[in-house]
Amino acid sequence: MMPMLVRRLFWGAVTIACIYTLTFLMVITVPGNPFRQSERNMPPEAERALRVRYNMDDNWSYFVEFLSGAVRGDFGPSFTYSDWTCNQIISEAFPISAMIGLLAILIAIVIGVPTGVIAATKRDTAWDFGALALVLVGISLPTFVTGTFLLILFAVHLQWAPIGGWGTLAHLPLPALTLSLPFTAYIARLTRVGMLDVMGSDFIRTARAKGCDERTIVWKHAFKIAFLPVLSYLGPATAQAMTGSFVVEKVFGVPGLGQHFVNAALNLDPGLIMSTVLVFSALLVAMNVAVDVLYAWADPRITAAV
Amino acid sequence: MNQDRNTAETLPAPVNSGDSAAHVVSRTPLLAVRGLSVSFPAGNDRIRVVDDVSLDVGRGETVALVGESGCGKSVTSLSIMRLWPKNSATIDSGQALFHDPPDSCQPVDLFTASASSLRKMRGSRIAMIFQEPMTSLNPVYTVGEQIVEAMEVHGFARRRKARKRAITLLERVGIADAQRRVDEYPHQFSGGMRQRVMIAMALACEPVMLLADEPTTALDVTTQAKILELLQQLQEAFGLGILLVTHDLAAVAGAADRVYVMYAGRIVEHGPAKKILTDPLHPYTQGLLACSPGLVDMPARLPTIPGKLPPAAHYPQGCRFHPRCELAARVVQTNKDLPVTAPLESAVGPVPRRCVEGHTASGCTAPKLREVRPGRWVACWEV
Amino acid sequence: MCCTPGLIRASRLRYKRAPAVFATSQPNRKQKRNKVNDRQTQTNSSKIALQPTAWRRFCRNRCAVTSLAVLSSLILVALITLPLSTRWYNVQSLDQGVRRPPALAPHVDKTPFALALRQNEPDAHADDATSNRADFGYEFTSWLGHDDLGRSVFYRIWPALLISLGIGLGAASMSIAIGATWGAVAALVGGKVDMLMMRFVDVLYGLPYILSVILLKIALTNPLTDLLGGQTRLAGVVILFIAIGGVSWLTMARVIRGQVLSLREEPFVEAAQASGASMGRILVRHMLPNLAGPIMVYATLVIPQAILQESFLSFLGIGVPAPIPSLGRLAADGVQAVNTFVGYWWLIAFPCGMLVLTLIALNFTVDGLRDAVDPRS
Repeated sequence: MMPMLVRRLFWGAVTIACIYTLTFLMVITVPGNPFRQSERNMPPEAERALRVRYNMDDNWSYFVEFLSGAVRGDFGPSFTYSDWTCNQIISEAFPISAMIGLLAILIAIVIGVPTGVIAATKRDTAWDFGALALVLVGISLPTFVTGTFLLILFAVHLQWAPIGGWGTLAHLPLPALTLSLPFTAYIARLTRVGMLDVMGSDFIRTARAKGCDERTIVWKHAFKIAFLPVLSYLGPATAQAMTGSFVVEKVFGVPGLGQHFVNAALNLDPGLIMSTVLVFSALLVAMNVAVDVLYAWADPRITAAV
Repeated sequence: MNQDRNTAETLPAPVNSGDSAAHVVSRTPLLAVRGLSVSFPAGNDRIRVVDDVSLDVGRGETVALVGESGCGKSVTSLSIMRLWPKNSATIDSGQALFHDPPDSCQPVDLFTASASSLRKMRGSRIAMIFQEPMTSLNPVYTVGEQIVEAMEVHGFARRRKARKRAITLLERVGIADAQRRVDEYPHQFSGGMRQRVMIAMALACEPVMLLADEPTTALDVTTQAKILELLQQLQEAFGLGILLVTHDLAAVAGAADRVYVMYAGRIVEHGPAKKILTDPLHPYTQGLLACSPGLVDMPARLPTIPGKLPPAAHYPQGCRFHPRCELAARVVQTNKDLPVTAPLESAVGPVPRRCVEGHTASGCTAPKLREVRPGRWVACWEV
Repeated sequence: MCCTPGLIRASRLRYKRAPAVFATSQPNRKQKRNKVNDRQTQTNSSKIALQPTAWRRFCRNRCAVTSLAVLSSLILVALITLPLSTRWYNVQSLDQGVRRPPALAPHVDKTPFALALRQNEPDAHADDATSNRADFGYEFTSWLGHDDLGRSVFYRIWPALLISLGIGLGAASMSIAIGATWGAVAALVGGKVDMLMMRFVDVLYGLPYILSVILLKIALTNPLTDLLGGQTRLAGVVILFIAIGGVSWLTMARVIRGQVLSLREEPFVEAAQASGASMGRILVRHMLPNLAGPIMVYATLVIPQAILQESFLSFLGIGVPAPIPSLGRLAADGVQAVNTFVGYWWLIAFPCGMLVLTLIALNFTVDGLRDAVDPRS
């Protein structure tokens, strides 16, 4: 187990390094970026001063500078929000997004998994069809539509929740619910396919021949294997959900991390772009490692292989 | 949906139903299958793959059901346990009278028993082992957990007692170091070992009947022999009735008491194993035996049965073996007076008309099983 | 049961010819099903021997067929109204028609409209005949209400559908072009190259989706506009699907690599190799026909995703360039209008309805296609 963990973490670090380099290359090649002279309308002295201030005299020195800062946990100043450091921005926004995201993933599992199992065990019935409809609607509805709909219904008409903003627990459910819908749909679909696959296998027949009742067969024998693809999906999904969604944040007025991805990219703010990307990729790698560990724990065949 | 049901209802009544069970030799009965017909859905139609099969298994008796791949023998054994996924095979008619239900002396018809009472009998009274030992065990539970589960499901034994029994069982089926291996996962076992685990699991609740659906097919030859030997030992020890489904007539030579030979969804011959092996009466059985090497002196070139087993959707009318029947062809040549037809699909040329059309007088198209010698039952017009 | 020889011959003939009969004539099969008897079960079920084609499997899926029908009729309407839409979609009437609710009769006086039209098309002014023709379609302008610039929602929603589908198709072709090639090359070359190529895909997966789309869009804007001869609007649409397609090929690459790898192990490919066929020939003759199914399915999967992504980008304000409508832009505009002032339901209901209808129909169709091509999933 331990050597596997070490190997995974090592490869994770390599992946993060690659992502960092790639992002850096993208940032310095995109036109209009602060590294390109003569594309910004400012006096040369001012620009030079700015570049000195942000440590951007030379592309590669900035590359090294930022990297060494990031390793120490210091992402340096933001270009757009000149009074803020990237650390401040992220530490302000990330907990909010993480909370909404985790709740969204939780909702997605709690609704999606049973939906998928029911759809698979009651195949070709109204249940299955209803689950399929839920899945397709969940995938098809843009979050700004569902979000607005939920907002109008629960906040404006029923007044069960505040209209928007952040600060109390009451602000949490609506954004989380909105964010969870596509994840719910995908998890339900994965579970259904996994269950259908497993329910046709020989060991399910063995369990029947043993005299197990249908509930034991579904939840003990089939589910543990059918859940494995969901588990591997949950890694990237959690990372994605936890880093926030611009759309959800805008609809509900939540000061989360998602807006910074978009604003950083739109403003071509190198510090913020690279720090948000690093946060995202580190989270992604961490989640994938966590999923690998869980996977190995759930599936003895993998344990043997690592 | 509606149409499906209609077609199922309009399926023909099994040929010869009623007196089809006349051939069955009954000892102390344990399982008596009567007139079993099974069909599969195919688009909007249904295909009948098992047609009016009757067989008997007595207490402590090994009965072999032999036939080519695809002749319906596995379907028969799975039907007895009703182990079909929903919406796949349906049992159109027939009975499977099981004479050892847990709570009464009356025989129970497994085909009409309620799902819950059938579940109570599965594993505890009737156990089953399968053709695919590699995939028949759940990969994410230890073999011990799976054997223990078999006992706990039926309240046979619990926890530590069940675990102890699981170890004993593993030792009994010949797994060395059972104490340690009980906590290993199926992927850590070889194919033959997994089949042994399957057998241990099947015997966990001391059933009286074991359905073995090609238990040795996926294994190599030496392991095959060992597994068959093990089954025989266990049968003597536990007094099991075994229905051994196999395509390998030679394999059952030593193991079985009686043999049913199946061709194209029907039983064509039935009798004591030794008699059938030394003196097969039905032309199909003769062909089958001639094709298996080793039993007789090895010929330079292995004979084959001409033609091939048609798919279930294309079973010919009359005697289903007639397009491949060399006996029929011989009869035509020796007896010139016989009315003859030449079926287009025949691999052997002209055959007697009754092989195709049946007996016009008695009104049955297919030959019935009849006792041609004491204890020897054959479904053939020409024997 | 006793049969005359004649009947038997007839039945035997039918038995022989059965597959052909079943392949072509439906009524025949139905008719036969009613008189099943022992002999006819053989002929009756012979179609099991025929592999049902993917298309027939698709047709059996009622949902998918309905969705496809809905989708095609929407596209048909959009195409029929296209000549009118191009005339009316951008006609504003700021004085009378701003945010007017739906009505059967036009809200807006003909005159300012006609004036606006003439301003838009300076060459269409002169005589009455032309102006009458120019006014054609005026009756429908208020059917779905007017937006905040007084433009007809009815005439914006149909071209929007086509633009959105176009972006979807463009992104799908992009992901085929990059993803399928990438995956196939990785699998065929194998070894270190394969590992590096797939590592690269892994790294790209680690980039936040929205960030890469935006950066790609910014990076491509200038060169592509130059390439298209300064046509900013066209460039805006093309950039959009290139940017979306440029990040959605990753899954395609993984799937196709997996498919090629497993196809390489297939006996028929090994047989072709053994008989000395060149790699190119194997790829074209043996693998491509088998890859067509998954490629098509995953490409169609990209279409609704791309439409959805475009709607997010529109919501961010970086979707299609200004006067051009797309379903995402209309829906996003409507949502924002509703956010500030509750009311103006037609601005959100119709565009969102159309967007959701299109996406659901597309997704159902793709689902049916996938089931048809790969029944296992």
